[in-house]
Amino acid sequence: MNVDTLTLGIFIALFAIFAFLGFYGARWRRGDLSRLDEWGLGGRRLGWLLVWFLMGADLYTAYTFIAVPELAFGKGALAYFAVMYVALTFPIALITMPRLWTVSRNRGYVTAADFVKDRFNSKSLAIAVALVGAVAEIPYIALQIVGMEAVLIVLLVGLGLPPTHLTLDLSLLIAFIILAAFTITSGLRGAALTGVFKDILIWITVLATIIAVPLSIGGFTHAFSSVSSTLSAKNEAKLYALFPSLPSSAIPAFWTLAVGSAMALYLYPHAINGSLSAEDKTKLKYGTALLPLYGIGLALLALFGILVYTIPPALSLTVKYDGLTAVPALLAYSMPDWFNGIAFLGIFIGGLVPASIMAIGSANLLVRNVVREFRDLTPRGEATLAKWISTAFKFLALAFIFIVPLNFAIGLQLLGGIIVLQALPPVFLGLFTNKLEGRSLLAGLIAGVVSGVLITAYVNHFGQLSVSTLSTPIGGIYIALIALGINLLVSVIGTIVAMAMGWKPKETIKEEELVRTR
Amino acid sequence: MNSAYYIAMLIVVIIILILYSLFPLYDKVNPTIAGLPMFYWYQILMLGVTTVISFLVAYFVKEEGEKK
Repeated sequence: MNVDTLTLGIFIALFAIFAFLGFYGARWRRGDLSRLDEWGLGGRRLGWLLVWFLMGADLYTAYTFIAVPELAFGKGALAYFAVMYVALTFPIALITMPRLWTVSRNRGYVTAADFVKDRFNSKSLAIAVALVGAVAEIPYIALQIVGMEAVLIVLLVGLGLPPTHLTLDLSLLIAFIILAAFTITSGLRGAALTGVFKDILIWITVLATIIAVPLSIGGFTHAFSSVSSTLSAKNEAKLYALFPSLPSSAIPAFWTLAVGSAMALYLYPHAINGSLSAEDKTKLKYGTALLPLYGIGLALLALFGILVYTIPPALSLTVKYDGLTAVPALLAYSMPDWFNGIAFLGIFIGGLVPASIMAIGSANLLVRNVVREFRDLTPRGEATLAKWISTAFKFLALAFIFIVPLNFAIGLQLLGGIIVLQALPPVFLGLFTNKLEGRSLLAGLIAGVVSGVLITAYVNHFGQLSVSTLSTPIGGIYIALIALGINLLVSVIGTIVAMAMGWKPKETIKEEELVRTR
Repeated sequence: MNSAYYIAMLIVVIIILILYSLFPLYDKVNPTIAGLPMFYWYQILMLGVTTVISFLVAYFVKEEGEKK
């Protein structure tokens, strides 16, 4: 295995640069960091390239490095639902985010819940939207931690150290303390700056590996035949049908997972936060339109889960950890030691930076839309509280992975999607119509979240999280879409009843304010 | 017209959705590219298509009052 002290040395040296950039962020494009929009939205001054990087940082997470390759390792072609999801999610963002950006600029909103509160004239709906967003981030942040663990496992195995709970937890804790410290000092600026650094390392890793590995092992033809021989040796030849193409029985699951995830991404606080931090609407649109290019890296990384079958020692290490270590194990056995130092750090901070961005997004929401509804806060008090909540969130997510046993890491992100998608009617539909009644939307949202969580618990037999689809006569359906259907039904029926009783939409936000900035 | 951009972008979403829903067209092994089955390379190629058409719409179809 090409992991040694040189790998570790480069890993640590680059981590030091990463930490420096994180703290340096506070001085970069200086603003008053005791204000929430300066700390949490980078002062709304990010150009299209930084928006691209910041949003790309959301995409290039442990989801891409660990969860999707793990799924490809176990289920082959099904993992490519993530590619369709990436292709669809940005055009959807291009419909919704420019309007949310415009109305937020006009009326000084920092979160989607700020908008919902005015649009539907309902404090309780805004609080519910904020809570849904913040809670949905927890499993997503937990996924980042799982990803960091996967890198540390391979690093420790390579150095001849046993990857025990003590060594793993200690390394994670050190990384988290540094991250929490610079998130507090630099806010979103620190995350954007380290995000650029991370993405440079990642692109080097992805491009070098995707060229070098197939060449050294004899192309994808060899990879697929290795999958076939490995699985037939384990008497799982039937499973091979899942690899070179998608069996038609799996198409409904593939399609609904892709569409559900695509609609959900821009409801996450961190994604909305990234959009609102754009300097102007045109820059937001250009940055977002170019993001599907990022998905090419995701698609290539997913293939690592298949390439790993060609290198027997990497395969056995990956099998030992249920596919979780597919990418780092493949790198460890096919690339030089110095390169692995770069690549491992890239994947490691590929979990850390998004965890920071997600925690900032959740903290913004909880302070603005939950705490402030019950207590008066000065602008300074608001920002201070958000900093501490963002720290608490990271450690809450750390606790989450100890509490919820999981089988597939991707289940964490899909669980977040089931919850966050329930904010679609008030946020996305709200951008185009105010003819929905606040209390009905709230009832719909609650019905959606409760049914989504219950169905998820039911299909997993109230145990280990491994399934995110419900079997129906037409095939597996992503639970997020079923819950959204229930949510919409309740929202619409409630609105019709309210209208019959004489309710009329109130125009607090003028149509004009959604269209152009003053 | 004020909503031209949003209608154009909605059409983009529908086009992408259709391109990725044509399973009989691309859910197969051959032709392969460098040993990669069509199921995989088609979807990667479509990411490029998505980028190009969304960028073209963002570039050419401006909203009222948006800078050129």
